[in-house]
Amino acid sequence: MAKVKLIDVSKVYKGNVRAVSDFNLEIEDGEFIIFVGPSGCGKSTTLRMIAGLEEITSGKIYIGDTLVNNIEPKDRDIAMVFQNYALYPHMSVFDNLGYSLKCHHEKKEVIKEKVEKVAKLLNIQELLDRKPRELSGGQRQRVALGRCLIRQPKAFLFDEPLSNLDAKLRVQMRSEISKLHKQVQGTFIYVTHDQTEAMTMGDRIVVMKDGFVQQIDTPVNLYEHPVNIFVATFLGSPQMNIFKVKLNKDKLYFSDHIYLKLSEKTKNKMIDGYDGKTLSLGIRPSDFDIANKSSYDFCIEKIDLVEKLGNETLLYLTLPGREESTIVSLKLDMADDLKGPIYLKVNKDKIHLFNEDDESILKINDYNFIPSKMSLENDILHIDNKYQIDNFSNKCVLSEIKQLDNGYIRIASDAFKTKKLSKDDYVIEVEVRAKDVRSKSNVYFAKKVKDNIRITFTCPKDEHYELGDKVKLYVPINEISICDSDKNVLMVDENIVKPIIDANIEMYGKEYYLVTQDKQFSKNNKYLLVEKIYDLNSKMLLRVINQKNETLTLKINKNNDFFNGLMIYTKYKKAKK
Amino acid sequence: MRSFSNSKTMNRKVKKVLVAIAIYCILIVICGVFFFPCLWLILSSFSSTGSLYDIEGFFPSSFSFDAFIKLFTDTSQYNYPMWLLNTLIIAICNCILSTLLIIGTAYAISYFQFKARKSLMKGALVLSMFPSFMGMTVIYILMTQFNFVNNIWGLILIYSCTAPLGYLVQKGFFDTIPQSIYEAAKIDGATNARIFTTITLPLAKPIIVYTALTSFAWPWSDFILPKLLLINKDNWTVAVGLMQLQQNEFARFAAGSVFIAIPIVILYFFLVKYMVNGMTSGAVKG
Amino acid sequence: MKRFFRRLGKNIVDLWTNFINFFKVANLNVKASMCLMGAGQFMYRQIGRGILYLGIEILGILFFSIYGFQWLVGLITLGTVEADPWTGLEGDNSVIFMLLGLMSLVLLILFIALYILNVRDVYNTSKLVLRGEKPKTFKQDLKDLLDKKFYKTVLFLPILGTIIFSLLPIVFMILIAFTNYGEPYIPPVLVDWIGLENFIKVFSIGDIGPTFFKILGWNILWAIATTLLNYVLGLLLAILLNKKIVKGKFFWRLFPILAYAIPGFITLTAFKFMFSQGGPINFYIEQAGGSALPFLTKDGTWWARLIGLLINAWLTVPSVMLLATGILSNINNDLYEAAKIDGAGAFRQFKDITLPFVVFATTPTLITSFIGNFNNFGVFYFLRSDVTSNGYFVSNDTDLLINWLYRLSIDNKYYSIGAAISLIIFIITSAISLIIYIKSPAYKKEDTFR
Repeated sequence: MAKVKLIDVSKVYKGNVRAVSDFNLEIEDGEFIIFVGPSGCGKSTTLRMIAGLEEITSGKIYIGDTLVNNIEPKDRDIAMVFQNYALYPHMSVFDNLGYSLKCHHEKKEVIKEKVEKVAKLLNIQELLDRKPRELSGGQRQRVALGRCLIRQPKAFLFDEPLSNLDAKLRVQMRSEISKLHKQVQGTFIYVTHDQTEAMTMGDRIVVMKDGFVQQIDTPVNLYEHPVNIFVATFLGSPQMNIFKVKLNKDKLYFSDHIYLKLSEKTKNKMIDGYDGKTLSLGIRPSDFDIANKSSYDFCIEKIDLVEKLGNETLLYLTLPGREESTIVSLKLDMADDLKGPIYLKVNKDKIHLFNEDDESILKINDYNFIPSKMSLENDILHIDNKYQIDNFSNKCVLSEIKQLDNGYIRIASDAFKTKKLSKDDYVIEVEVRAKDVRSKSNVYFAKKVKDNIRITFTCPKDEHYELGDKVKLYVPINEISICDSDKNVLMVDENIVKPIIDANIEMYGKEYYLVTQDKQFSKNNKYLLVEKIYDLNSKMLLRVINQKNETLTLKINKNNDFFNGLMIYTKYKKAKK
Repeated sequence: MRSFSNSKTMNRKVKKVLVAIAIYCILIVICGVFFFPCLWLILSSFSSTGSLYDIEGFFPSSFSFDAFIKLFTDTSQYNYPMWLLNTLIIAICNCILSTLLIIGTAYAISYFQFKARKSLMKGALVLSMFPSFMGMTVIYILMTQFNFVNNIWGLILIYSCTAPLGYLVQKGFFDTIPQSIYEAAKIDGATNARIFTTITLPLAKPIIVYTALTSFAWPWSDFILPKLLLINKDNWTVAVGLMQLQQNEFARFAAGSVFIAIPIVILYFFLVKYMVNGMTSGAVKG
Repeated sequence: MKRFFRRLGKNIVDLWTNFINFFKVANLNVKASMCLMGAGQFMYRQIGRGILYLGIEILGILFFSIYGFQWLVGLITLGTVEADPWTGLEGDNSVIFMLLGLMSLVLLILFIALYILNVRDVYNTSKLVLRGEKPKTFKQDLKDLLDKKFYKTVLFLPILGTIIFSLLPIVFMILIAFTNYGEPYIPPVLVDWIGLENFIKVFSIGDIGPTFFKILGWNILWAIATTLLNYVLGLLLAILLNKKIVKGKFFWRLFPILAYAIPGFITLTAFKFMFSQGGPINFYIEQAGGSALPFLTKDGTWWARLIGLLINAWLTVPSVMLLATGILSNINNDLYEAAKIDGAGAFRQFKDITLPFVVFATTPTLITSFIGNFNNFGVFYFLRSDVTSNGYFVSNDTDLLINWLYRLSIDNKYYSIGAAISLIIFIITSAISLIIYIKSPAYKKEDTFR
């Protein structure tokens, strides 16, 4: 059993097809983690990179404490269950189970003993002499599981193991795998496209789309606090209804006359700046309910379709703000007869509001941007004439700043402390307007006193604030990033090496070249080895080492796929006259 | 109304029967066309008079085992048992060597994704475009220059070394083995060599049988190369030997042919299934 | 076209930059290996590799200084000393000179390739070391040969065999096409390089030119006719046997398979006897009061061609049938059921489902069978190799190019002309197959039937 750690893992196929981008994840020892997403989202590729079946383009993967990038799958000490079982068709179940032990040169008696133990665990003792083709789908799946369990690998990998089974068996195997996880206490990494499997089995879920991680969290948190429309609609069945609405004061307008009034809590989470804007509203089907004539949100004249499922009833309706039918799930008796008009109300504390443009949720801000005035004197940056950052030129990419009146400072929401750490701390006073309780921390939505600027901050679970509380927040000055008026980050967290060379990197054949007109530069730097990559909003910084072990910093456009350890040659090019 | 529908079904039935009769007639004619020459050869081998000119028409008037007996006893001029032995040695060696080389080639090309893979495949395609005679003529010239003719080992070497060029059918088979089985084995801790011996080879049994049998059968029917390389009568293969028999030794020719054709035909009957598989997989994949 | 050249230009520029850059970046170890193979490997403590490369260099230099260079010169001169039986002077054997020269040329190419490999190897190791990894040990190299690089182990023998027994003979034959090797220039007489003269002979008026064009015309006609005939008959037979009405399919299939299984030389010889002047068919014709027909004799041009066509059909239709049967059984039955429900009749089903599917799946084999028939040596060799026609240079009117080739080079020792004709055959067949392949539905719409 071991931890599995992925750092900035990317996979680029031939022809610059990006399958996985910047995957970062730390999987705890004994954790059951699930990668979920639609087909082609890179979840299987990521799993196969962990297994070693695909090369890693860039980034690092650790299993336990070993870096496994260049280690063959057979030496990684992992086990994997494949979608089509991948049993060896010419071997009996016994030999299938014992094959890995045989490869590791175990003694015959040991193999026999272990195989029988696993067979007992999985209840397949009678099948040991059969060939895979004589087994049913479920039995094959068990054998495939057994092949993993027979060793004590550092991690168990599952690549959509249940998708070839019929629905009933799937439910049964689902619970069995969960049980097995409890029994063997191993690190399980499980890939599926089925959101039910993901929600029911995992300790944590990684939701992926188009090669990017969307959200990593526990099933409950994913369900209740999706970060964007994709996650919101992907999890939960039937899926969340998304409406186009317009915010006007505290009302969400579906059309000119139909609106939904926000609850106090939601209103406070939203704070300001959105008034008059078009937003996406998400309501889960189960958050509708039947209302009486006096206090309803919607009055529906016509129901398009009714599906009675026994424990719940699904209604398909047409509501303004949404072209597809809206699905409403109600707890009704089978016998109940639905005849229009019906009155519906919405649980307003549970609605989700998303930005229209990038479909991200409104309330959570990973980063807070606070408008500030900045000026630079003697390599000291003054923020609002109150705070100072020393040695600024060692951190800033654009040291040409003299005066920046309409800039921003960027503070991560988890960078706020409620206690003062040093006298230089950045201080801000906020008023709490709403809160969310999460598994590891509480998230507070607040407003800067006097300024009406939204601030999101997190603090440990044991610190509680009520709505309306005024809180003083402190931020260590080195955790503040400086942004220009377009919110582009201008500096990095740690000291960078000066001077920064504006570089243009081109590819010739399969090699990267820095093309320069400076003969001296190309002479002094035959090749450069990328040591660290900083990804800024518009540009990329590469910290590189030349053949004399001197460190340089290159600033380049974001168009190539760079990774640590990449070799860049320099190429001298005469200036055109 | 009822009678109408009845007559319609009647019509349909009659039509069906007529079609069936027509089809069976055609089939019988076709089978006759294919079978007649074989039958002629078999009957001729039992003719008591040896020459083709003594058999009036297709079928001999009197039958005997003479031709077969002479085949094995009268070895002064035509040493049939010796030819059989030579061919058997060549066939067995070729069967072993060719199968090893072809299976290895097909497996490596199908399974591994190495840099030179595409160029190797293209190279093989171009080489196979050259008329096979080109190489044969050179080999003949060189063998005569170096006085290396009359050696069945040379023939075996040429047969088995040129065999890997025909790897496509076998590659088509290997392509059908799912990658995930190999991946599972890798994760189980097996090296590629181990995967090849414990997984690929057992799974490839049908195609190995097919390859072995076809390369076993080939020396029995190949004629040109042995004729060029084996000048000495004692080194002849059955094919070269039988071709030296003239029309007046027709019965003997027929007997010798029937004697080797029967095992090969039986072999092919067993192979039909594999052959169809091999051919279709080669066809779709090119 | 423009894009192609632009890309070519870019590739050359890329290659050049990489090349120049290589010298700039190469460290001491790489440069050491460039001077002495294996030296860089020694410096990285890769003793095993170092010894291998050093050994190759020593062997190579020894070989080329003692034999190789001489042999290469021999390839150019093809011998200078003519043998003289009177004085007992053993002259130069041009063919052996050519062979040895070719061998040392191959070894030279191999040596250069190994030299480049040696430099590249050390260069890659230097990159590895730069990234903080360890150079591979010899033990790891050997282990890799059983695991990661297992294909090298497996492919070594087949590739070696193919190079020696397929590639080298072909290169040798190509070389011969540019010499005057053949009657009367056969060792001990010296052979010379004569450039394109053989090709000019083939295309010009004289003995050889007209024969070539006559044979080429018949050869193309033959290849097209026989391929189409076999294909159509085989397909029809397969469809007939695939019909639901036919009971006992296995029994009916036995007969074509029988024809397929019997070695070709037996059936062809048997057919030759059957159609010979005194054979059974003429016997019956004479009995019926007719006069014996010249089936395979000198006068029977079109008889012989027709018989050849039919006999070849007898031989190959079964294999087409087997292939088509396999493909027919691959067609998803749902397609037919869907077509039936859509109201398609038997003919429509055949035209819209069976035919496109079979044609698609068999195009590659159609090409190979076309090439095979173009170069079908057996049929006319066995049927009519004893006949020579007037107006044909050592050939007859049913001979295909390949038969003529055999007669020229094996029977009559016109080696260089034979080689030139081989090359021409190669160019024709590869051009035809390329065209068919590009025009074929399998190439145009790859995914339709997958």
